[in-house]
Amino acid sequence: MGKSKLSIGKGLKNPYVQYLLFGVILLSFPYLTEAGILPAYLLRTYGFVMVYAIAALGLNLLLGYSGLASLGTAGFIGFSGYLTISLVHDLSLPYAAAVVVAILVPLALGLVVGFISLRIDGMYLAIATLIVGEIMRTSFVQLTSWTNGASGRGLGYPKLILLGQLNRAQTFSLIAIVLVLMMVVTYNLIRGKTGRALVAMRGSSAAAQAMGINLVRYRLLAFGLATVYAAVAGIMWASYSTRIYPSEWSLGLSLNLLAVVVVGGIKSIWGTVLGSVIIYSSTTIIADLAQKIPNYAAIKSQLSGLPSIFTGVLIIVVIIVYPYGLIYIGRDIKRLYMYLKSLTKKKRGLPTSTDGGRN
Amino acid sequence: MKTEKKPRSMIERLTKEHPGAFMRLAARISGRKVIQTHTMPENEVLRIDDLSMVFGGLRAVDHLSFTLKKGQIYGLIGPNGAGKTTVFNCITQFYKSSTGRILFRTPQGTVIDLNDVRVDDVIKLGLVRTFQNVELIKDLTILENVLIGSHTEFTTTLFDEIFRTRRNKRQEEALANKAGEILDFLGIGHLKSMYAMALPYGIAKKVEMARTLMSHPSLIILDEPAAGLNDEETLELARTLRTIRDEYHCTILLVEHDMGLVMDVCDEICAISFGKLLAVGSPLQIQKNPVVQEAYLGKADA
Repeated sequence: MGKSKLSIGKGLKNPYVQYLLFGVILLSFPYLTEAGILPAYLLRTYGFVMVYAIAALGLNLLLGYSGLASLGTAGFIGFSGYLTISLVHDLSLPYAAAVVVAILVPLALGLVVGFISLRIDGMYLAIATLIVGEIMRTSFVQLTSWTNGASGRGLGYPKLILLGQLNRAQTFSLIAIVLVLMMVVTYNLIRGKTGRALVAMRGSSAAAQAMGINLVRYRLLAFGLATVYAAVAGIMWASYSTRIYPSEWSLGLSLNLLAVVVVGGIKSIWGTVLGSVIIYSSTTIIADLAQKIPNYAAIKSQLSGLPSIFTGVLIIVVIIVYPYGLIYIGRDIKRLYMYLKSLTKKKRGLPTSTDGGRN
Repeated sequence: MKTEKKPRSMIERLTKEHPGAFMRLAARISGRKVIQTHTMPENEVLRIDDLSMVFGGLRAVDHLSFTLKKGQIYGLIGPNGAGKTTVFNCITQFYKSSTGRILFRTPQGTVIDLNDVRVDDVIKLGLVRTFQNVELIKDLTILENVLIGSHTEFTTTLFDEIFRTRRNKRQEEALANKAGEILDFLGIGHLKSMYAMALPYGIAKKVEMARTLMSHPSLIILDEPAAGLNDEETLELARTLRTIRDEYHCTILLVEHDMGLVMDVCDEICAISFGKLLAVGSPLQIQKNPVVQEAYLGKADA
């Protein structure tokens, strides 16, 4: 009895088991909402939370691991979204083929941006990517024949080769599966050679070069990966929402994704998921609450910035209190618990902390 | 006798006047490495030949030449600002030297000019360095920091990593074991899962040393390995250096200010001042050399 409990506990520590469980929980959402246990709007909210998480995982690889800032994520998400829609509707390609193209074309563009940005760092890189994002957003607004301008374009739920036409709940499940796969891929990447190289590049470019890490290659790799994640997020976004509009791919979305990484947890997969939940739900909740303010219609335009104000304040608070992100609260509680436990256990002689209070 | 012909084309002139520069350009355009082989005596590992490094108006290294023989522990000494670290940066291609050749014998026995090599390719030739201000990655554990030293040893592709193929697992495991062994050898194996943050200097230096040993080096370049160490640790370092040389069959080049260590451990010493060679010789010869004494202590009153 005790032994089996132990092995379950051990299994839970395995990240793959954790991701799998997470996937199972997400897959149960459509059934729970259908059974009336969860409110139906959660399906919509969490669908987009997952899309946020996919894009933010890529941004975390770029910002958290490689130390490269990007504010152009929204542009790439929108680009692959529109690509998918036009490939399926204008060229009547099958969904799977459209997906491949909608990943490869933004990837090529992302690598070009990566090439351009090889010589710039930090703040200047953020500015450069911001401009790329803005160029893309403006293009979406202007190219009305392609994006249908402010009226937006819709893809409809995807039609897969073997499964046929998906409905809303099935699309939700598709996004869940994609998210879990992306989490596994991210985990595999960061714990191996590539992850170490990216972190080394961020930590000390001199040491990285001396150890044979080609900075150009790994910078481009980081940009390429982030773009692929953003493209996948864009495809999922287009698949899940009824219509997509040029106004959605603004700097606001890029900043939100940045907030996901910063608030949730830099260099943490679970932190990214947590951040997506916090940022996406809080911004929607605040926007909903604002509608309840009396006389809302009259001051609507003045209230539209409320969610951004909230995320802004949240980022500042988190950076001051938990500079690496809220996910690390759990680790600190665990540490405190271990510390208290060691205090009660070892009361004889030597202090438990051998580092002389350096940390 | 053949008379010097006038070079006809620009390319010919370029190759004649700036052989290194042209090779680099060609390598850059073609994306392929066109590395010329050179010759030097069998027992030599590194030959610095007329090396100069100019920063604007400052000549940090001034026509410096010295030679390392196989299996030596070679010391490079000089007062502060003598250009020792600059020499290191030129050898490891962090700086591209203004003039001069840096001939290096790879473990395979071919002799190449390191100036033709890209900075991140230097380690693949068996030449690896440490840094004066210990460059460890704080966000990684000690073990992971050491594994960075074996970055070029991995033959896995991105595909292997994403899908975590058996090949990837096997290599990760094998190299992690090797890293563990090296850490044990340096006496810090029990710390391997600690983060490389706020480590005592002595341990941080050992981690950096372990990192260099991961890549099958034939020449290790140490920039002030004893800086920040106490007397006991310095003695241990001297022992470690000898063991590394004997067990890993390396040649070691070190810059050091701790004269006790240098005189104790080095087979041969090169003293420089203001980028210029003062003297080369055995520790005893260097100690007795009046020019070296003058550079360090000033001129004695007559």
